Amino acid sequence: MSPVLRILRDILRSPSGRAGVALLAIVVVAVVVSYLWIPYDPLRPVPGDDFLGISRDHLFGTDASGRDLFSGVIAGARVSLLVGVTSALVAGAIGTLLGVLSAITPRAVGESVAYVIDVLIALPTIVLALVLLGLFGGSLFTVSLAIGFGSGTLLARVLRAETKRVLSHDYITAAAASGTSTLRTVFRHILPNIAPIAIVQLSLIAGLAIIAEASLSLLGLTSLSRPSWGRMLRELQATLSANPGPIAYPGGALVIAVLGFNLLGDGLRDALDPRLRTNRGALLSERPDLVVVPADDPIAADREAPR
Amino acid sequence: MIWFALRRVALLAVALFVASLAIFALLRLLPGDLAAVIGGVRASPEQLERIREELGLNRPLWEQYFEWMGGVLQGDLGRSALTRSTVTSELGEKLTVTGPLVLASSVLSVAASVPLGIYAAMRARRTDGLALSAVSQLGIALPPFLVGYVLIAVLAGKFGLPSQGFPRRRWSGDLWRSVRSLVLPTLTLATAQTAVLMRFVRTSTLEVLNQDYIRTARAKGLTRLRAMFAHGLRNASIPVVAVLGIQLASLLAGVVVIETVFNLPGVGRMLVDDVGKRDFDKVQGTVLLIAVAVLVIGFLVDLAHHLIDPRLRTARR
Amino acid sequence: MSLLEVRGLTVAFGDQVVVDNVSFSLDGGGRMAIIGESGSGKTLTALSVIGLAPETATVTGSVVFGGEELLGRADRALSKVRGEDIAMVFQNPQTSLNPLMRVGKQVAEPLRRHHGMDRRAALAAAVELCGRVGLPDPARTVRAFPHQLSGGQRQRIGIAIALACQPAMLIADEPTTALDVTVQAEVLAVLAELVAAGDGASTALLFITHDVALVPAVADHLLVMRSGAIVESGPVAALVDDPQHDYTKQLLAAARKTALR
Repeated sequence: MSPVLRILRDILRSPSGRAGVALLAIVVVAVVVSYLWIPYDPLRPVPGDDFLGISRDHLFGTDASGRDLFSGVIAGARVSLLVGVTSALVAGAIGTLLGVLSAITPRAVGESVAYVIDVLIALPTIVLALVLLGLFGGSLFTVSLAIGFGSGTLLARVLRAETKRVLSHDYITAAAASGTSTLRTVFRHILPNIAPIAIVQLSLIAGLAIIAEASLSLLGLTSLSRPSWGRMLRELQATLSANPGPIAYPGGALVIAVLGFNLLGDGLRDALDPRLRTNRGALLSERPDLVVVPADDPIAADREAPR
Repeated sequence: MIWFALRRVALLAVALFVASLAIFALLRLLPGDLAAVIGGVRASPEQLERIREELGLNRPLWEQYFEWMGGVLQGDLGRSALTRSTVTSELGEKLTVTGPLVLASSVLSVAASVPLGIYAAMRARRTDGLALSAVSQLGIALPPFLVGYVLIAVLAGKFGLPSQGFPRRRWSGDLWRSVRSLVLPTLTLATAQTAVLMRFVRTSTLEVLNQDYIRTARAKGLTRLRAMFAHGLRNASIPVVAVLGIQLASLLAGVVVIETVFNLPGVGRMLVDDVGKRDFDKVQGTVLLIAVAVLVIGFLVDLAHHLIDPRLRTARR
Repeated sequence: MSLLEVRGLTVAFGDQVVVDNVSFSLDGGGRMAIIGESGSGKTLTALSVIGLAPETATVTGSVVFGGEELLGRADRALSKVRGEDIAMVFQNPQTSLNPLMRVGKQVAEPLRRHHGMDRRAALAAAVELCGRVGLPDPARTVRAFPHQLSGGQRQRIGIAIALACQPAMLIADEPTTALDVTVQAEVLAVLAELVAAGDGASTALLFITHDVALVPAVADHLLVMRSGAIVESGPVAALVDDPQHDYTKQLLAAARKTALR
C-alpha cells in the first residue's frame, strides 16, 4: 500500500482524525457547492430584506442589510480554506528553511539565526499582519504571506530543535563519515525525519491562519470585495444585542473549519508516529521541551544529546 | 549568579536592538515610498514632499534610524504625522485601559488553568478528565471574538455590564463603570487563554507524573496527591512559566481584536485605527513598544526559569 | 508465618499477561533474589507487591504482608505501608530523584511522613543515614542537588531513603545495573551490610537482577523467572550447583562464559 494511502488509513483509524476529516469535508463541500451555485450575491445589500428568518429562499436567513447568510457562508469558505492552506504552505517553507539552516550551519551562524528567530517571534503575528496589510493592501496574497511569515518563525524554532535531535543520531555521523554531502544528508535524512512533526504543526497552523484571517477581516483590514466570514461578523456586530442569532452561521462555520484542522492535526500525529503521542506532537505552545531554550541552555543540550 | 544576570541583560539589549532594526526595516525599507503610502493616492507632490521632510525620509537610511532610536531612548516615540500629538502621551492614555485588561486576564487565566490542568492530568483516563480535554480542544478552536460575542449576547445589560465602550472620564472619574466595562473583555480573553494554558498544564503535569521520582516519592509513602504537590508541582511549573512568556504575544494579538469588538480605547484599537489612517510614524513607535514589552517579559520569565531550576544555575559558567 | 506471602500474582495489560501466576514467600530477615532477563516480569512483580504497578495494569492474586492482604487496598492505606514497612530502591539513579530538591530533604521525607519528625530532627537523621551509606562529608552532601552527585552517590541516597524508617522488608530493583562496574561492588556491599545490620531483626531483602553473578553475595534463596512465570526456585547454593530447569542451566552457563574470573 502506498505510504500516502497508509497514512490516510491511519488518520481515519483515530477518532480525532475521523472527526477532523469529517469537519473539513464539510468545508470542502461548501467550497465546491459555492462554485456551482450561490443563491444570492453575498455582498449585495437588499434593502427591506433585513433579518428575514430561515426560509426556503434564505437557508440561514439574512443580515441587517438583507444579504443572504447562506451565500455568505459558503462563499466565505473559499477564502478561509485558501488562506488556511496557503499560509500553512508559506509557514512550512519559511519554517523549514530557517529551522533546518540554523541547525546545520556552523555554531556561530546557526545560533545567531536562532536568536534572530526568537526576537522575531516577539512580534505577535496579528500585529505583523496588521502592519503589512496596511502597507500593502488587503489582498489574499498579502494576508497569507503575513500570517505565513508569523507562524513560520514559530515553526522554525520547533524544526530547529527537531533537526538537532536528528543530527545527534549516529547514522548521521555514519553518513558523513562515508562522504555524503550536506545537501544529500538534508534531503535523505533530515527532511524525512522532521516531516512528521512539521506536517502536524502545519495542520494546526492552518487552523490558526483561518482565525487570523477572520480577525483581520473583523478589523476591517481586508478587501471589501471579497466575502469572508470575518467580514460577515463585522457587519453583524453592529446589531449584536438586538439580533444575536445570525452570528451563529459564520461563527459556527469558523469553529467547524478550525476544529477540523486541529483534529486533523491530532489524527496526523496518531497516524504518522505513535511516538508523538507523548509531548512531542502537541500544539506548539504545548511543548515543554521546546519552550524558551536559551542558546546556552545545558539542559536542552543535554536533552538533545542521545543518552 | 550576578554574571549570569548581567549576561542576560546584555542579550536582552541586543534583542531590543535587533527588534528595532526589524521594525525600522519593516516600516521604512519595505514600502518603497513611505510618503506615498502615508499620503495616499490623492496626495499632491507638494504634500508628499512635506511628509518626506517631516519624517526625514530624504536623509540617508542609517541617519533616519539613529534619529528615531535616539528619540526613542529619550522617551520620544515620535509624533503622529496627522494629529501632531506625541505618541508617548497618547500611549500613556491608552495603556490605562489595555494594561489592566492584559493583567486581569493573565491572572484570571493562570488561576483557572492551573487547577483545571492538574485535575485533568490526574483524571486523565477517567471520563471527567477526557471531557475536560475535549472541552479545551473546542476552546482552542474558538476565536476570542466569538467568545466575546457569546458573552455580549448572554451577559450584556445584566449586572450593569455594558456591551461595549469605556467611560470617557476613565478610572479617576468613573471607577465602577470603568471596572464594569472591562469585565466582559477580561472574561473573553481569559477564556481563550485558559483553553490553551490548561492543555499545556495538563500535558506538563502528565509528563511529570510519569517521571521516576514521582514513583520514588510514592514508594516512600506519599499518596498520589502529596507526591504530585511535593515533587511534581515545581517540576511541572518550569515549562508552564516559560510558556506564559510566549503566551503574552498571543494575548496581545487577542487584545487587538477584543478592543475592537468591545470598542475599548486601548493600545490595540489605536494601532488598528492608525494603520487605517496610514499614520505609520505612530505605528512604528507603537509596534516597537509591543515588541519591547514581549521581549522584556520574556527576559523576566527566563530569569524566573533560572531561579526555579537549580540545574541551570550551577551548570555552565 | 512468613513475612511476605505472594500467591497467584498475575499482572496483565489488557489481554497480554506479563506476570503469570507467580507465588513465593519470604521470611522475616530472609534474602531472596529474583533473576530473569528483561521482559521476564520481575520488576512488575516487585512493583505489584507494593501497589505501584502502572494504572493500566490489572493485578490479581494475593499479596499478604505481615498477615494482611495488600492487593486491592486503597492507595491511602498502602501509602502507610510503603516506606515504613516495605521500602524500595530503584534502578535508575539518574531519574529516581527529584532534580529540584536537595537530597537531604528527600532522605528526610519518609521520616517526616511516617515518624512525624520535624524538619530539623529529620534532617539530622538524614545526615546520619548518609554517613551510614558511605557518603563522604554527609553534612555537606545533604545540601546538594542530585545532579551534583555521581551515579553511585545518588544510588546510595536511594538506599538511605529506603532504609530511613528501618522497614521490615527492602525491595531492590536492579540497584547496580545502571552504575559503572567499579562502583557496583561498593554499592552492593553497602546494601548487604545495611540489610544485615538492622537494629533488632534484620531487614528482609528481595533482590531483583538479571546478573547471576551478583546473587550469591546477596541472597539465600533464588527465584528464576522467564516470560512472566517462575521457572525454578530454591536455595541459592543448591540451584547454582545443580540446576534442574533448562533455562536456569542456560543462565548459569552464560554467566560463566562472560565472567572474567
